[in-house]
Amino acid sequence: MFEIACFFEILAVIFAPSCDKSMTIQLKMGKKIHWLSAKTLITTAFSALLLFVATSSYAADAAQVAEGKKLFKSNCASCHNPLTAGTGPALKGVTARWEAAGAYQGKSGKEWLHAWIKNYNTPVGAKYPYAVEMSNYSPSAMNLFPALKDEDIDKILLYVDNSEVTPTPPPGGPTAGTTTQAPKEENSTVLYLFVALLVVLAAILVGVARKLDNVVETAKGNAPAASVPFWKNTKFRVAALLLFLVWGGFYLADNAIRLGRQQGYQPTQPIRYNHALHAGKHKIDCQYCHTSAAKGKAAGIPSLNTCMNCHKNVQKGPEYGTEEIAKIYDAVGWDVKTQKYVRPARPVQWIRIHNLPDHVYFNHAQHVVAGKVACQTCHGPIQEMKEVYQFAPLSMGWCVNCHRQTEVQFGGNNYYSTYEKLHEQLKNKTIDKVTVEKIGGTECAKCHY
Amino acid sequence: MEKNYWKGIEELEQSPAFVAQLDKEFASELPALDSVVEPISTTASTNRRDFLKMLGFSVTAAAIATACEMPVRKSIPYALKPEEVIPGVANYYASTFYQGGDYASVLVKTREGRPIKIEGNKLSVVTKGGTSARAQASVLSLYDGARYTGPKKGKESISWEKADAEIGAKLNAISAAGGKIVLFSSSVASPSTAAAIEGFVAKYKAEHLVNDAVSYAGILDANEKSFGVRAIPSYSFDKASVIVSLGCDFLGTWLSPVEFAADWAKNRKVNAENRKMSRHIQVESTLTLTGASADQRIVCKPNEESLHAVELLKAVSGAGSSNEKINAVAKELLAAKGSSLVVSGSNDANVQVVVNAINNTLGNYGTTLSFANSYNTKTGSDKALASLLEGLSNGSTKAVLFFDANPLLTHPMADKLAEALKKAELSVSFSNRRDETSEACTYVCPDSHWLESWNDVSPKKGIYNIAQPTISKLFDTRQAQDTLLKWSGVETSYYDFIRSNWERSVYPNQKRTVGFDGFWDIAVHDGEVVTSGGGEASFKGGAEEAASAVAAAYSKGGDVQIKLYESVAAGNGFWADNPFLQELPDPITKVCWDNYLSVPVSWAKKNGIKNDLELKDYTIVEVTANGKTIKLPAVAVPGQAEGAFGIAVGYGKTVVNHDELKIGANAYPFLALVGDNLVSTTTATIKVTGETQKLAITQTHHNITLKGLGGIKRRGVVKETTLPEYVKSASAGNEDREKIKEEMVTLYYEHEKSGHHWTLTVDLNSCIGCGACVTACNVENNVPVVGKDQVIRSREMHWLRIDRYFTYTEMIQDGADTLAPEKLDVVFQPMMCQHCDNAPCENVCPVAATNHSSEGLNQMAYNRCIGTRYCANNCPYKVRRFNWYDYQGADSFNEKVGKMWANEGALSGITRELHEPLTRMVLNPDVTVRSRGVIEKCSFCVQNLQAAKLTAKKENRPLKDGEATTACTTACPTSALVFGDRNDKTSQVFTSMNDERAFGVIEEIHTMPNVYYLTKVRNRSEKA
Repeated sequence: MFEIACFFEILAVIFAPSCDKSMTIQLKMGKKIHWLSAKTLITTAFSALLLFVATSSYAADAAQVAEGKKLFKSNCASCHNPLTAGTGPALKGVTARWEAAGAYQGKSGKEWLHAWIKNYNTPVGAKYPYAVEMSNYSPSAMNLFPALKDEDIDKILLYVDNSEVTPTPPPGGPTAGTTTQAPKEENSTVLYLFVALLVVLAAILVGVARKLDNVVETAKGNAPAASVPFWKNTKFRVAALLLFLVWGGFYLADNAIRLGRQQGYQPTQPIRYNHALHAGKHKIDCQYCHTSAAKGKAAGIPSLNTCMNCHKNVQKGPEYGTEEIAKIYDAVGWDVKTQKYVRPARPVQWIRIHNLPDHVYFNHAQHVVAGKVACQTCHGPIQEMKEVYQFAPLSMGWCVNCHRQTEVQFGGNNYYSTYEKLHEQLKNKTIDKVTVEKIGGTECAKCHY
Repeated sequence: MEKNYWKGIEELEQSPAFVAQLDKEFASELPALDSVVEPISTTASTNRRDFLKMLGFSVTAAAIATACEMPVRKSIPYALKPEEVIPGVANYYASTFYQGGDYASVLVKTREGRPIKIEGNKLSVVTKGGTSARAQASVLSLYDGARYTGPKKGKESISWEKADAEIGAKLNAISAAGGKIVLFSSSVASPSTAAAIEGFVAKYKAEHLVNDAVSYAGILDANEKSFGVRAIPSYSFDKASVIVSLGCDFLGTWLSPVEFAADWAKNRKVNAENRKMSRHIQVESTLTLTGASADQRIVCKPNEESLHAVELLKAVSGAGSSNEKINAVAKELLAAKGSSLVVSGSNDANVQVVVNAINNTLGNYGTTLSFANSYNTKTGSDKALASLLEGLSNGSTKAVLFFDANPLLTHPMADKLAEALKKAELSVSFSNRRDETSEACTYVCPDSHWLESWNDVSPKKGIYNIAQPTISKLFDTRQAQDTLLKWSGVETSYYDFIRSNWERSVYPNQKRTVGFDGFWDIAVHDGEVVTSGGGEASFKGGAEEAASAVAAAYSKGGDVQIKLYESVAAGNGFWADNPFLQELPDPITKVCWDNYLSVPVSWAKKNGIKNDLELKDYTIVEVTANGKTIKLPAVAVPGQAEGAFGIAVGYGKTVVNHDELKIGANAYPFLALVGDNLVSTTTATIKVTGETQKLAITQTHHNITLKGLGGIKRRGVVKETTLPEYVKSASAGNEDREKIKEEMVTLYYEHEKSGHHWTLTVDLNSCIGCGACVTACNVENNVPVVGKDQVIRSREMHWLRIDRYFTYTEMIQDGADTLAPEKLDVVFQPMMCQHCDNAPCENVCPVAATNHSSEGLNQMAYNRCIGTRYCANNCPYKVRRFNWYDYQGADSFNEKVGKMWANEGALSGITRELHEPLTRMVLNPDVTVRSRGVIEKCSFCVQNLQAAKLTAKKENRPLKDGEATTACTTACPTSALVFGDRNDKTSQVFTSMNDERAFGVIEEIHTMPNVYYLTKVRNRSEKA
């Protein structure tokens, strides 16, 4: 039905000499409905397939484990790991351990485990011996999960008991995050070769032309011009000198301007912290670690207690295993075995990548909060960077250019309500947008004071 | 004859040296080579070889510097970040400044845990958000290289355990043997410190002697006689409509100047609606800061300041005085019974009894004077000095501890005391930096700096302040109170001690909160708690004997009388080694980095005193009094009475970190004993020597002179009127403004200000010239200290200067004495970049390093400046400063090549100390540290404006009036400066700049300044 309607509409569009707006909307709606119908169809088919697959018990288990994993990640993973002890104990085999602890007050060990997960106080209050023992595992109390259904708990337990050690990937890891400079270099080499070829060709042609001239002159009976080597040719000398001056000047100026700029700078950091993993794969918000980006001038490099929020529990990474995480523990003075801080913390000495000269004032909060600029605008595809490099040139030209083009959140922020004249101009359509430059964003004292 | 404003005698008399330097871009000779390795004779010019050498050097150096690879910079986060610290965001903590006898309730601005600036606490009922230059500069003393890094025994460093054990054993032994132990301190305004001292005194049967270097014992003794209360009442200058001061510098240095300045200024603010102001009469011998702002000055010899008190008592009691001027004053006072105030700066108890009688006759007690909130900041006795010396000399005092006192500098018989001190078995100083007394003690147990310490201060009865630490201890120091508690056998920390003390004594008297913890949190947050004060006291008489005693003591004055005073910057000597304060020019004489004898102009002329402007040479004189002789340069000061000679105390320090801080001579030995009190006037003899000395006087640096426009008479620079005229017309004195505005035509287009338009107004009527703004600006904007030698060459870097103009009380007829002291008037005019909307400096910069912003700021991009100095030359206000040297170590290049430019004699040790990592901790990280060779100037504290705007943007709201401020505005104790956005029609600055009194300095040249001044109004009948 929908297809037919759609077909007719398309026909109408084709045959109508002028297509008015309402029709376009109709067409769009038609398309949308069309697409939805297909989606419904696919979903139904998929459900049927799922229903079919579900009859196999193995598949059911796998599905339940997958669901359990999801539940585990959202509820438990901040403190627990199935295989290693963190804030809470390593959980693999937990069902067996509670079963082994035996029945008490008419309830099986597994039932007590369910009760514990929902509210650990219930079994402890009932003085179930194993629960009392486990309540002394750590000084930090376990969160309460009264909303978890019994079948969900079963799924979680199924996942926990079925988890295996994931194999460590080969050293080196995936080659994501390679810089884009290599192909650029290749291109320019080809260009240079091509230019060189042209020069050689030109030289040959000049030689041939001269030979031909000589032949003509000889044919006319004149003596051929004395052969002057090209480096003694005045015209050539002047041309070469001019060329050298132009090239030299350009080279000098270009390099002088670039002095102190570090685009592409990618130092080796004391800890191989992987942004691609944290920000890219796990989608941890930038400001979870760089907390002051929204508050002050510096984005802030997280202190070690921020790392430990997760890495108390996450003791092994997918790429470097325990090697890099051990460096955090070493710096913060954490002993993995006893799960205790045993030494005073000392800061990690990161290498600063983004350097601005002392006479430049840059404020992160201004850009992140007031300007609503995405981190990637200046820092590039940080979520893909295994090792961070400086993406932008951080030159004044680059800053100013952005200030010229970027539109200010003019209507959305009450701060700008006092800029009456600009509001009037916007209303009168004498200007179509307010850029940062229009409110003085390219003036000296905005960044230099 | 037109009214003339002049900065100094050299200008009034148009001395050739002054005229010659007027047109010069820079006052001193060009310094091309005055600092390079070997001194070059002044006649030799740079030859071709030198030129080539320098060329070769600079090319090579530049090549080396630029060829170097970019250094690897580290970014080191906190290992464990404290919750309240956000890198790059300032935190403010309420605290209390009580140092060297000065008090202010303050907020301490910290960045990443470093205190970098002091702001006034607006919640305070005493200082009301004002600060002083000393409070502003005190942050530098935290990072002072002269500080002790740990306890010492003699010259050796020892551990605290060892010091405690050794001193404890000695104290016990002396106490057990019945030997006397003395704790000598200045006034203790902290109730908890007093309690700790009490505990110590009780344990060792010790004696606590209290003396203030600049003593207030006279008032205390007098009030004990007159009222039976040994206390100083609170003075309400805001409630007084007639103020008579007898040689009392209450706006500059006396008792509680920040508080008094704020109160006094309340009745000096006039506008079209309120055309009333207080009348202030100053009876004085030397020209003080307070006298400079008075409506009328009665000039007399120093001894007559006291004699006039007796005359005034006669006059107000109806007996009448032989002195007609005094009779006139009495008439005014009697007309304002109950709302007048008479104060005296004398430390003679008899004089103060007479003054008490005057105030009592006028019915001022209970109105402008009250014992309900009497002062706790001054409790010292002058007898303490004698008993200290006596006990140590006769050997009865076996042990002496010095807390917050430096008697080897401030004792009139310091030399004898130094000898006697050697006899003591045990001497301990708690000083946190090296001073005369601590170096003579056997042990030094360094106190922590006030910014590192917990403390409480009760400046007045019923008012309590908390001081909290704003940084971890920089050195191995310990609070003196902790030390005293430890030695008294009390094991609690001083913090807990304060808390329990407050729980007992302060908490029960307040009604704000229930629960001590909540109360304590509020107290720490606000910094101040106000409870009920005490009761009043009634006058008991006794004025007659006092009056006759005064007459007897002062009737024989002598032709040469010394008047000792406390300088506004360096104070009683506590601040004498603070570079910020030493470089702050004296408000009156504009001398910095020196102590001098201020002499009357007539005397200077008679005795051929050299005040050579060109060579900066000043004649040295020998002053002899009390059997002591000191040598000082003489500076002629207009407005000073004949026979009056002023010397500031607090100079002549011998134990300092740099030789440049060994400044002047110590005048404390000139204090004269009258009765039980040490008074500041004494008869002396003066001998003129043939020697001369260079002085750094900024008086005639940076002159606003425009031939044919403002001209030499400074028409259009300063405007003033009198109150009767102002009552008639609100634009009195400023009548020409309308015409000037009409005549303003320009070829240039006007800058559009669509958002903010920053504007500053300065009320000339309430500016007292105290210099708090100058110091605040220096601290906020990383303005370097350049040292005496550089100031002599007119190279001080201050972005904000206070121009002090002299003029006459009325039109002076040709041929009259233009320097008659009593006819002299003073105007203070803070002068900073005027941020002209039509700026002459902007047009001449070849590289556009200075240009105009859309918010009305005249911007200065240091990194773009190439140092042509065209702008400074073209600035009519002379507010641009050139960095002749790398004053703050901004150039890493210098460090690389071994500071070869910085070292050789060009920069003083003080300035070089600014290169040290410890001292650099005071720098504001939001403001660029300028390098050599660039121009700098007032930026209207653009860093604060940007920060305030960002806060508003983040909070999605318009900027509020008063949020964006400048350092000078917030520091001003009298709120003479108002800053804001004139596009905000509801702002204070909009009202202020549209007042009929507002004018721009020399605005007839159409610079369109964004700084407006408000006409000065003097409350007197003569025509201006």
